Amino acid sequence: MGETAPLDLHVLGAVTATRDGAVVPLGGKRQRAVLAALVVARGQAVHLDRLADWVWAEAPPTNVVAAVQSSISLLRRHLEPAAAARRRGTVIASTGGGYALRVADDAVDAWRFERAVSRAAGLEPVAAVEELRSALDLWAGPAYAEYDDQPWAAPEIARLHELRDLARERLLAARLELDDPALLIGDLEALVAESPLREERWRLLALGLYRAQRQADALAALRRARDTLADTLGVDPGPGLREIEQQVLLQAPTLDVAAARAEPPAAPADRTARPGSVPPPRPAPPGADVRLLVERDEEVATIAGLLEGLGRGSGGLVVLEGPMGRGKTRLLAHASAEARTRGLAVAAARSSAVEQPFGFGVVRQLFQPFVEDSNQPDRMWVDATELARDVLQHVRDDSDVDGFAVLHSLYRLTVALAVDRPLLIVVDDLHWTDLASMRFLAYLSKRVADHPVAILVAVRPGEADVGDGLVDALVVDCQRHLRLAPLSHDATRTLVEDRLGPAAEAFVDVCHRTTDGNPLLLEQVLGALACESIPPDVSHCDTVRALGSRAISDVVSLRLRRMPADAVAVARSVAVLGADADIGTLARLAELSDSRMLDALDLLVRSDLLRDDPPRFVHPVVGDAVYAMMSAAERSIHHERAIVVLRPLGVPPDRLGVHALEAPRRGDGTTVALLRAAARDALGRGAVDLARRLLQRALEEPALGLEREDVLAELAATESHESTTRPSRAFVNILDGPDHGAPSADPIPSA
Amino acid sequence: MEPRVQIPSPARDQRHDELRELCGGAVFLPGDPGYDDARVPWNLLVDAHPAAVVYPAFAEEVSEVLRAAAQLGLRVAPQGTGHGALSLDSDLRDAVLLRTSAMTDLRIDRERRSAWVGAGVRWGDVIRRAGEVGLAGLHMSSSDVGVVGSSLGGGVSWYSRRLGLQSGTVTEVEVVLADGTIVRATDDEHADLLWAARGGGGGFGVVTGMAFDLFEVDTVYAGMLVWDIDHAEVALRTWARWATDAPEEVTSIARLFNVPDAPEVPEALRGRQVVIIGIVVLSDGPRGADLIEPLRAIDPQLDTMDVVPAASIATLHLEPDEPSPAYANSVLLDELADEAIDVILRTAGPASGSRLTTTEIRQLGGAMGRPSPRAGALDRVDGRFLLLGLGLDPDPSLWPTQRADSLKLLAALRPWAHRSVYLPMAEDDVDVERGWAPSSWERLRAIRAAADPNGLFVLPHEPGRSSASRASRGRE
Repeated sequence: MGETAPLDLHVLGAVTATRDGAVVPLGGKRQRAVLAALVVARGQAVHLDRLADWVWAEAPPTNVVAAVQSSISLLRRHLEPAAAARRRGTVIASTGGGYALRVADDAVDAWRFERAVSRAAGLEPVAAVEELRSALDLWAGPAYAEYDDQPWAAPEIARLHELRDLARERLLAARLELDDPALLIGDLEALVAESPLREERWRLLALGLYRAQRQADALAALRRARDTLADTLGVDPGPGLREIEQQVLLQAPTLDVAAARAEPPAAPADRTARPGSVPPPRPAPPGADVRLLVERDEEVATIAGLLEGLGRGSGGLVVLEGPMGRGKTRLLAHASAEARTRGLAVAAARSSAVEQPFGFGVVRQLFQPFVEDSNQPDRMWVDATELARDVLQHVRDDSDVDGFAVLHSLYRLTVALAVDRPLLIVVDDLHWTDLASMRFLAYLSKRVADHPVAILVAVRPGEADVGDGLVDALVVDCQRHLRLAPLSHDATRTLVEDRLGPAAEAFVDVCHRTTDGNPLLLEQVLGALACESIPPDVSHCDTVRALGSRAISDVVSLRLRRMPADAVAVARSVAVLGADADIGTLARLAELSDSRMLDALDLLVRSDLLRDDPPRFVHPVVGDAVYAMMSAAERSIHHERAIVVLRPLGVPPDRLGVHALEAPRRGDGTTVALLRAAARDALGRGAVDLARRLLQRALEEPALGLEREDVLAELAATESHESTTRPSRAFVNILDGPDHGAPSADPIPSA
Repeated sequence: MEPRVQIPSPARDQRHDELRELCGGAVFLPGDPGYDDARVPWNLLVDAHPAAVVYPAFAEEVSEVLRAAAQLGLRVAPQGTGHGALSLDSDLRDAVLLRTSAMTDLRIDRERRSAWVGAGVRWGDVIRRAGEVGLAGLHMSSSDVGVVGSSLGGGVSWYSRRLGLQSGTVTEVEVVLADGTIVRATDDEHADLLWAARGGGGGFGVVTGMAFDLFEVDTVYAGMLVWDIDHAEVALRTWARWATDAPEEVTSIARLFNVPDAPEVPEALRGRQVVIIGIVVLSDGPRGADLIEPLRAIDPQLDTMDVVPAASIATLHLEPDEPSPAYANSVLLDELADEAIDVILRTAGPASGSRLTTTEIRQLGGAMGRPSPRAGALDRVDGRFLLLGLGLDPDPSLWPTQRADSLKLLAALRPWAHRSVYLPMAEDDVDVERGWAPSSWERLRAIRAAADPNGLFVLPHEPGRSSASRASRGRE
């Protein structure tokens, strides 16, 4: 028997729970602390020993494990009173050696609050005010009120309070667009007095004063801001304050209510992934940071420096280099999250070997979220030409595309985007970037110093450079080139104990030696051990050696072999669908009911094979391993079914075409039609090689009949296309030579 | 003297390439970093240098290893944890050491009271997981020992006088035969292989996993009684008479123990010479206390007997989990007369100068002395007691002495010795035939010959081996 009314957990204030409005008793302070700690972990498993450390840190009872277990058992009884004792555990689930909270996304007030704040960022002022007001109403006092002195709660409390500050600023910003500004000055002054180092508050105050026809007071406020910042921090005001000062002095019309621009969204308002779009990675849950960024102090500091500079309006380029699994992706995710908390805009993309044939694939990943954002002002396009719009909006254009003109247009688009908010561009696995995007990045990197645009890329050493030296050129140019070091013994211990609990020295030692300090391999090995509840003791050293001496891909395939069939089916579907994998497409491709698919997804996420929302492999190598485990026939059938699943969703033809390349040769006309459409699509974007492959694949279909002539003709037409997948010598010369400033869109004279 | 010239051998390179491909890369070849860690078993006395160490994770990978080895003219030595590695007394230069540590599947079926384990699962894992649902298996005195390996050897457990040998609980095995065929053996299919797996040691294939019975044992009355070594004579004599008549619910081990100054032993015992009697009674507290009264009557200096969770007896025997240099050799005794105890104390007692770490006497009989209801190669252990001389000294200079002391002790007990030997606890020049009843030995040989006609597998206690053990080689 399940509980009928949903459970509500409150942490914005004292830690309490209600069901249908009625208070659910939770017991004493420590017992509630156990629940609070699980909320802080956000559904991630917390090991029993860690819970014990957190909650009973100062005065552990003699049997602290039993104390935790009994707290859990009592909490379960309170939270699921109607369930039989054996069936309790749906709210607090037992995981290997620990516990995890399993509640809906809207069951915890802090989570609702967070979502509402990011949703509000994409709304018109009226709706935003409503959203932010009701979000702030969720607060009944300081978050996790009784636990503000607890180290385990402190980071999350700080984060929530920061978010609340942000929400209050945004509420006032939105109200400034609607209400009489004179009525808001008091609120704005109070906000500034509370945190005089938050520049956005000064900016809003100045804006409010200006709109209330008090220009002199606005300028005085900005001077106070400048003095406060100089006295306290010794820094100058950032670009936001400098800009408004200029505008006040110029009485710029942009300061008026009607001209005010909506801010680009801080996070995509719609969490369901659209085909072809890559939503930026979500910030890691609090508590996970330690695990993910262990021993990356220098890198984190460099990223902070880059963002600091970006906040002040100066760009830069930082390159992270390291072999597979060293932690590049994690650092990029951290940088994106960090940039967003600083109020910067982020454009993120990940290159992949599979998608390398797509011309401008990475550029499209970077900018699509902005293009699809209806709040993005059309002004964005003013500086960019139609060419950039073609690339991004995928409008087919039969006219020959001048490579250089496109690059310049994209560059101007980038600069235009960064005017509103400084922009961080993040590209993972740069070595697999398609050539067209690579050329754009190289072009842009020469010019970022003068604009609020920073580029952060990750690259694997020793990969073939498709860009004829472009990757190397980028690395040579960069401001900081960081080579990620392998994990030390101490860091290995931190990670081992985080996953498995207190570990024997010999066990840590064998983990460190066997994985060579590779964080991804270590994570996968620890995941395998955790799934089988293997304790980190002396007896199991050889188990580590046995699993960890495999290649990462083999560890992954071994783990998958030991998983339930549903999980395997979902993992395979993610491998086949790639960027098109979401909850809907996965359930259909894996042929599972939604609930079974979600269970399987949950298991894969808990096992550190997938990250959720949207479902993606923790690392491309994991996906490659899953894909490689399928037989050729299985892959073929999966790709064919992927077309059936994706086609009704309006996925562009070229993305369907990639599946058609691998689909079985059935000799039915639909495949040929699909391949031809995809080829036209690809050609339209200048991806000649892909178009050629699609048409050649079409020719392999049996019983083509008369259509064969058409396909051959189209193939011949692609051959005549001047290939844009090779850079002209002239172009490389431009990159190598002195910066010509903003070049014209005229063709480049050959050297 | 002829200078030895190392000629690069294309055959060897090719061999290496083919071995590298196995087991998803979990392969260690001589010269690899990690080779030395991988080749050394739990028993540090063994110093073999196999042609490769491989870690297959499931039966199909074992098949590939066997086929590759056969093709390259190498033999295969399967090894679990390597507690009994000394019995693989060969240098393994032309063999692939197949370690089973990656096969970690462990499933407990509460309803059917059974477990399925992969060959890399240790008893500690089963004790913990089965204990969580109130079940227990017939585990060994060391929880670090592999389940499959100990079941193949027979398996004398703390519960065996009531519940029989562990090998008698095995209901199904997954075996990879020498030609790479994977079979599931039950009492109905491939029954010969299941029969051989119940105490037949090995040599008929690589057992990659097995199913066996668990028992409803939640708590037991257990612990230890300890006296200073001065009281050895009275303690051993009293215990011997008590143990001979004790009911089957009692299993006990008496030993003379030079306790190491090690963290796994209770502080009160560290560095002392003592007599310890470890006891497990499958009963409640009052009945248990009644049963051990005769031993309490001789005033133990330490008495930890109490009702405890069954899982807690995993550490009762105070055995080291970390790899150790262990020399263990034993003899089966028909009786433990006072004269025999005198001989033991003279040969291994405090005044004897013996360097053995423990001299232990395990109480046999009961259910493990009767044929088990499930037919197997080893369906019982003969004799009333098993006398074991165990050397665990970390100092290599003492290893030859420990071995000599152990052999001397066993020789002195010959007048009371039974004809058979319990092979998992036997070393050196043991006569393998004496490990089984004559008819069982014949049948086992026939099954091995059918399953492995070309002698691919390196057998424990194989005749004509070249000695590689550090203990027997001694030290300059």
